[in-house]
Amino acid sequence: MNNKIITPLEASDKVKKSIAKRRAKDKRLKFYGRAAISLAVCFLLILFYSIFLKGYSGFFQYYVTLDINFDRERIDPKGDLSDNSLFDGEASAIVNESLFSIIQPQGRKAKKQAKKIVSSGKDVRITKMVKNDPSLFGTITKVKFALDDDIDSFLRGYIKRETPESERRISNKVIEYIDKLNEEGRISYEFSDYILTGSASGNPEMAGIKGAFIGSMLTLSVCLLIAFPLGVATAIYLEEIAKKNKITEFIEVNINNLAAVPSVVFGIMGLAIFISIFGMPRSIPLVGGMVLALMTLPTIIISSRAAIRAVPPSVRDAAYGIGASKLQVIFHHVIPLAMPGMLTGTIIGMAQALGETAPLLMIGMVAFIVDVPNSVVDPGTVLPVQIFMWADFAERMFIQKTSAAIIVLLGFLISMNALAVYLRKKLERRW
Amino acid sequence: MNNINNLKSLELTVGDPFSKTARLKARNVNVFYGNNRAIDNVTIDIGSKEVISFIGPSGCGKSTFLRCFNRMNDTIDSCVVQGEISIDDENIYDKKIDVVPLRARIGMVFQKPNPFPKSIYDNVAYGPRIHGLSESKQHLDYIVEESLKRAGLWNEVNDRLQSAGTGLSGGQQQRLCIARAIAVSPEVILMDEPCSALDPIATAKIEDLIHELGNDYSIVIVTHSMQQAARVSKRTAYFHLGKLIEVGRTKDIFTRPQHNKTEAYISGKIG
Amino acid sequence: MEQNHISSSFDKDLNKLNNNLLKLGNTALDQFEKCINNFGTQNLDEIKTVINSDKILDDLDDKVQKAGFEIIALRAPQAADLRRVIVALKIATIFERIGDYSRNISNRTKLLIDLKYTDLPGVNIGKMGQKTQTMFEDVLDAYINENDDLAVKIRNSDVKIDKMHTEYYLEIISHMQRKKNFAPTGAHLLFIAKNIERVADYVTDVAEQIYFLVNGHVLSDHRPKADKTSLKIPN
Repeated sequence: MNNKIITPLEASDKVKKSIAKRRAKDKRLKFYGRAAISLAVCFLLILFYSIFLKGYSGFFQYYVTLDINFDRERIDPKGDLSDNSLFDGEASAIVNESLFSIIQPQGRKAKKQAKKIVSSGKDVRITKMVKNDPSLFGTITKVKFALDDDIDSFLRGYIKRETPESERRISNKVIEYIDKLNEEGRISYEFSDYILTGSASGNPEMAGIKGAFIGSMLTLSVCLLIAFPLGVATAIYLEEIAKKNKITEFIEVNINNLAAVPSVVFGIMGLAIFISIFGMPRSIPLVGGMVLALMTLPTIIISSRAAIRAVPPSVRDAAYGIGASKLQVIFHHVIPLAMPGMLTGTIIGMAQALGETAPLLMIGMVAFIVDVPNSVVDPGTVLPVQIFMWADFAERMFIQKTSAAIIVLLGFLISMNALAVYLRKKLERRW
Repeated sequence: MNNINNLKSLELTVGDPFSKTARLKARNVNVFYGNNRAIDNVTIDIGSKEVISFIGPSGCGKSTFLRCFNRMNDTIDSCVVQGEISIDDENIYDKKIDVVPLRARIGMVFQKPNPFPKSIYDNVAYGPRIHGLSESKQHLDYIVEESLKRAGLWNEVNDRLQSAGTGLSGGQQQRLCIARAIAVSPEVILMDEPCSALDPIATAKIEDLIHELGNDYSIVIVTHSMQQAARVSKRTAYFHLGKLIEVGRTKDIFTRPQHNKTEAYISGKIG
Repeated sequence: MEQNHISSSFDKDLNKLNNNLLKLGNTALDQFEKCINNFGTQNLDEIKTVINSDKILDDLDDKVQKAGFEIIALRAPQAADLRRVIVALKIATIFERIGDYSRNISNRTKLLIDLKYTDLPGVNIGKMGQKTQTMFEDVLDAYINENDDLAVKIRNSDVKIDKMHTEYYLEIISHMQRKKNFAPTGAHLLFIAKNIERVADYVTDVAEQIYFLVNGHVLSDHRPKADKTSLKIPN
């Protein structure tokens, strides 16, 4: 091999020859990249499409419009609109009368079946209406009632006429009545006023996510209030104040490992420590929040440390040089500059926590709670757990509602991540 | 018989390291980074209201030595400072001395302009605020205005004091940093290659400013451009491999240096 | 000087140099004017004053040399600034030498008074001196205003002084040949005339420096010369 200095002419020649190969390589790389991204986007689109398709109908349900005679003496016998009085009243009967006047069932069996057409929440609807607006008394007003979930499923087409009656959940008579109501134009398909305002219920037509949603918000608030200050303070301590020695290295390794621990382990820990040893009640957002905080802490610490490290030393030099103390440097200069990164990390951590199911199941936030929790020490549940529970139930209508709840959950996750991106862009200061 | 090469080649510092009006006194200062000695037994006075420059080839330790005066070397873990540096006869490395007020008396301007990511007003007002120097908002306004005037920046920014300090040009940012240092009424201003990141016109403006500030403050300026030292300072100290070779009036150093190493550096014979 | 430097201390140093140079020039001019006058009035006291005042010129020259040297060492002047400083150093030396000649003329005038010299028709030292003095005044003017046209004019008028010198030289030599005991007087007169002619040459040197200062290059053509005294042998 002769080693010689390559002349400029030879060099430019060789470069020209190699250029075709290099360009081809670049092109291939570009193609692979684009193909990978397209594939990922495809899957994403398919996912969203199928969820949306299934869940969209969960926001709607079937209603029947009836003319209700708001007879005061019958609805509110004591006349004071108290719960007792309303409970003793005959609101249900009034609704049934109105229904019967249209479909005119003959015989006890038929009447019994007809009573089931309108959702069992009919009396609650009437009493709520008169409580809000006592001027309804003495009038005949049209009221919309949700239809029973089987009727709803039939109207959607899941229960088919063609199936033999013995295998169907609704009888031919009921179908006749439905057809009659339909002819009179009393059946409508509308945006559900239960899905977002109702709580958990055995009756799918009345089931809603309000309770779970409030539970999620309470749990996340507890999580945020614990994890954010603790995480940020830890990050500041580890980055700025602690001396770099074996102990801090050990802590750093442990924090990094904790970020990878499966979340259900935190749930077990919560069960063992908070509930068994500290004796805190099960199923309350406070304990749920504490467990989630433990789970989110490593994420917040790691991203906050990275944000603090990204602050350039020239800012610190300038601050020290003017005579700021260590704490003043940290709080006046480092933290404001690191804040966008810290916030982004926190929001992403919160978004993760929002979707966690396993640890909360472990500490028992799976109870069937009808009431909306009012504080962090009232029993409650969270959205993902609610979804998990609904997925178990047999009724067909729960499928729609489950998908609708998933859409709500995804909507929140996306908006939280969007908020993180927006905040990061807005707060980014150039130094 | 004297000839032109009758230059000293002693191991001791040549010239006059002491000053009658000394504000800062360094005696037998040694600085180590781990096991490496960066500054070797340096003794020098910084006089009152004078501009003195530290020159020397790269790596000769002048920046390290400069940072000893306001204890900025404390922020570097591996750095150890031995010897005595005193201001008004108080050793600043004494355990009892609080480094925070020290840095208000001895200010610093860095190589790359580093204004805080705050408004121009807040940049200058930060120091007086944290040291409790102003009595009222008006007083603070006054301090900010005076400092910006002295730094030669007032006319250019007085109509946009609330805009970001980082939005100014390089030369203006450096003058803002100088204003920030002046705002706490220091006695000494340390400047670590303040013009090396600036273009020639901005540099000339800052040099003119330094010359004027020398009437009110003691200024120690480290520079890798000996021409800058020639233009700006009254006294010059030449460092080489951590040792202080020669100190004297700038005129003398540049027309008839006494040490052969100084002569070699000034006339471009060594790097 | 037109535009100011960004560094005001640089301007200060240049102004100091310039002021000292002008002081030197004006003092040298003053000395020359006085020594020509004293040739006419033959006032001994005045003559002694001129001789003793030469020290001032030496001191001023030292100041200018030192200032120029420091500016070059500390400021590294470029372009016009560099020319100004170099030219100032050269001109200062020339002014100092002109001062020396004024002192020599004064010394010789003292001796002429002892020899009881009155007048020699055909030799008008006063007129030659005055013409030279005018050139000197003009050259100072040309320096202050950096006027190269005036400098060229001055340089071209040196030839007149040369002609006068040749004329007077011949006249004095012929007189010395006719009257033998006129020789000492004549010798002094010759030296005085020569000194004035040398002063005019120096002034012309200054003019050429001014031209270089303004234009950055020397005058290309040769200076017109008319001093034939070293070439002719009078008979």
